[in-house]
Amino acid sequence: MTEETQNTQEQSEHTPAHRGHNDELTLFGQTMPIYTWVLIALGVLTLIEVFIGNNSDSLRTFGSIVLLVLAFAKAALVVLFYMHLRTDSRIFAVVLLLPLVVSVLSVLFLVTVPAGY
Amino acid sequence: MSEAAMEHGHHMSAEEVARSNDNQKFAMWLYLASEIAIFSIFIGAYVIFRVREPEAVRAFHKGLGVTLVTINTFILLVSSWAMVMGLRAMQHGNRRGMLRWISLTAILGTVFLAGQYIEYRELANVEITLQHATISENNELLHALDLENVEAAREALGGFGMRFYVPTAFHGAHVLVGVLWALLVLWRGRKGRYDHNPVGIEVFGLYWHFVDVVWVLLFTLIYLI
Repeated sequence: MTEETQNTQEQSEHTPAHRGHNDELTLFGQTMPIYTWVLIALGVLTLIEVFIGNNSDSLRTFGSIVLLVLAFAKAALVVLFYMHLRTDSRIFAVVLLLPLVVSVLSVLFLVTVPAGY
Repeated sequence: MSEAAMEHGHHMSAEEVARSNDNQKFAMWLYLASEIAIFSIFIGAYVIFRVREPEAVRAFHKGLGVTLVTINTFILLVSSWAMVMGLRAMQHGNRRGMLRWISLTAILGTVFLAGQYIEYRELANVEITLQHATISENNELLHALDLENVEAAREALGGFGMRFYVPTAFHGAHVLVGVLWALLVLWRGRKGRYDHNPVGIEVFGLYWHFVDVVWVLLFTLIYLI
């Protein structure tokens, strides 16, 4: 076996080129790629959001909190599954969370500053 | 070593390829972190406006509805799914499948932009502009509301456009860049650039999914709350 063939064989076992063969999930008797299940979940959550949004006059603050929770749940699904943060290096999660936490805290602080201050 | 050589994995050990892949993904995550900071400023400005001028936002919600933007949201969600399915196809060694999925991603991204253009035209018709504008008394958005203080609502609605267009148009610009990047991935993919190492597709996917995540948050904050 030549060195190059050996390298290619090693690569095929370790690089992302051959990752994800067992990425199917069976739910409700249906077997589909996990990415498709995530899309279905995102679609259902979006429909729930639109329903709540259309009735937000009656729900007010509670409705807004539920909408924010749903939005962050959808974002988490995309980040964890589509962006592979569930399985990738933890350092990527730190790079994502650090500016996110600082940004959320900054916005929350600015919202509390009185108008015209 | 050239990027092409790295993507083909020529003359590199498995460890070197893995390290190179991780470095490329790390670089993209760092870039996305800077994007979070920029989008946060725009989103923060909108949230503050939303808290202080609820009537203007209510006029926007009541007047335009969410049908078009909901369709657009589904289009972007499906495009993200197509993107990751393209990567999956390449990981399974299916180049033709990858080309089909990434083509779908590019098409859906373009449809999203067309939807955004239609929405902007509708908004321009009801006097919502980027610059602070004086809203006319017979504005149909104001008439959709039962207001006690029409003057205050007119003033607030005039300032709505800037807070709305900046984050959504900045996001739209990212979608446009994503579509062009998808075309580049298709061109390279046809030449077999990702056959042995699809990290280039994965890095593009990180960008595209990030654009999707931003829209998920913008959709809820701007159109529903």
